Amino acid sequence: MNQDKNKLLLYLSQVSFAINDLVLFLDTHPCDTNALNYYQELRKARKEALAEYTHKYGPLINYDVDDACYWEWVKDPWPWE
Amino acid sequence: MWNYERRLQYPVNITKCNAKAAQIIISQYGGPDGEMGAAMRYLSQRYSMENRKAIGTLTDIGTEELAHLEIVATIVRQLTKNLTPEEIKASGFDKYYVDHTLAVWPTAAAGIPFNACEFQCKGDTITDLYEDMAAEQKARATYENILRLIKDPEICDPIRYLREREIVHFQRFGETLRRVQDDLDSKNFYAFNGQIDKKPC
Repeated sequence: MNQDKNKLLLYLSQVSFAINDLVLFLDTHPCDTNALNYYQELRKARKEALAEYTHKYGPLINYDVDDACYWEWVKDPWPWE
Repeated sequence: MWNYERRLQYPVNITKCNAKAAQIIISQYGGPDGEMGAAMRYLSQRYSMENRKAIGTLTDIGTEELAHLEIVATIVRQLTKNLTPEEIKASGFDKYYVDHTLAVWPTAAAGIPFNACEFQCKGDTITDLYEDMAAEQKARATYENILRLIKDPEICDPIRYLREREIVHFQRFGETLRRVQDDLDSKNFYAFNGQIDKKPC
């Protein structure tokens, strides 16, 4: 369970990093069609991974808290812990 | 507006305390070429930039520097959180500990507190972009010095990642400078005249 959680978080971080890096490339190459297409592909992958992680393990962003009984944003460990 | 995402941009998993390493690495938190200065430099320079693409680059690199600041803080925290009083005295960490206990506070390795004078916002696109390129090289050199001083693979792995990002950022600022220069008028190509004195065409 915990291993699956870490694996999914690592995958989400990898996809997100690919976007972070690509965004910097697009800032200086805004007409690059290959990069623009790759951005759309990664964006879809990140959206799906983030939704799956949030659904299974709780929110990574405090716009996505989905629990009416307890404020689960403060429940889990923080990234430095 | 910024959003916080509850994860590190690159994973940090340090299992052993090392106060000596923490005292060196904290320079990239609040030292002269650290991530705090980097984030504040780029995010502050944005407001007077006139080139749209340069504003995009400064926003996105400045935001990434905030994520790097969190990675450096996590490294320092994990290296120090379980220190014993004996280790604190033996490693020389006592001089930091007396004022900050085991908190993460922005300082250079030699004890000089974070200082905004370590970066500039000159209000001139060419001047600021040259500063940004130099800043990325200085940060890369600092990460390389850390890698010469520290050999623990758990620490070196995220440090190597941070070093690589300095190289990418240098490249992107270089491309941004080139684009800005392409847009300058021929009489001002070498930018002897400040942006503030630009006459409308």
